[in-house]
Amino acid sequence: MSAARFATGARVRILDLPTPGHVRTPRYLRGAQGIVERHCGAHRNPEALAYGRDGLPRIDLYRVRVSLAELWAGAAAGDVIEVEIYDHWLAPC
Amino acid sequence: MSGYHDIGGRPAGPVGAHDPAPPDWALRAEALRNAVQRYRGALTLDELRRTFETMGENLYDGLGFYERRTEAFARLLEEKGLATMADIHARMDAIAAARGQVVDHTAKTVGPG
Repeated sequence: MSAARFATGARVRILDLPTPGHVRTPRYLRGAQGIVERHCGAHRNPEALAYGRDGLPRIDLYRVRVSLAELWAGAAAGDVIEVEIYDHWLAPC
Repeated sequence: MSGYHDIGGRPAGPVGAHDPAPPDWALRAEALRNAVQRYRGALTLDELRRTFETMGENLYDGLGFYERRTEAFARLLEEKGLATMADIHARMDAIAAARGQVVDHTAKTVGPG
């Protein structure tokens, strides 16, 4: 298995992919920047599992910490949200 | 492209503080769904999600949390050839009749017979 693309602490941007069907990246996070808080292992792709396919090869999953102020006006400074996002939905920044 | 289920971040009023325990029927339905998933390998949680994300906004909004998952489970049983909705509905009708009730399979309600 190849090494994970992102290290803890890496800055990433959450992409807005046009993937049809079942995805696990909510729309409120599309385009947001964050920091990789941890690697959460590699898992079968839920986008394929959702349609009865085997979901292989496994995809790295990362917990990404995003500042709430990045997402919504009026958010308290310092507040964050941490969400688990698959590797193909992330780009380095 | 996002589905009707993808509502995170939209205005929705204050968050309720109540946290009711799941009703008994929901615990049994979830246990059955987990058993079919794990011991038959017939379906995945991802397929369950995909099913209630595509059952239509009216049904998604009208059904409760466990009702959605159970409806999706029933649909997947048919999709996978393990049961038919006709058989499931017939069994529901029989159980309801024994209780003096009638099921409306379109409205997804149970009422007095």
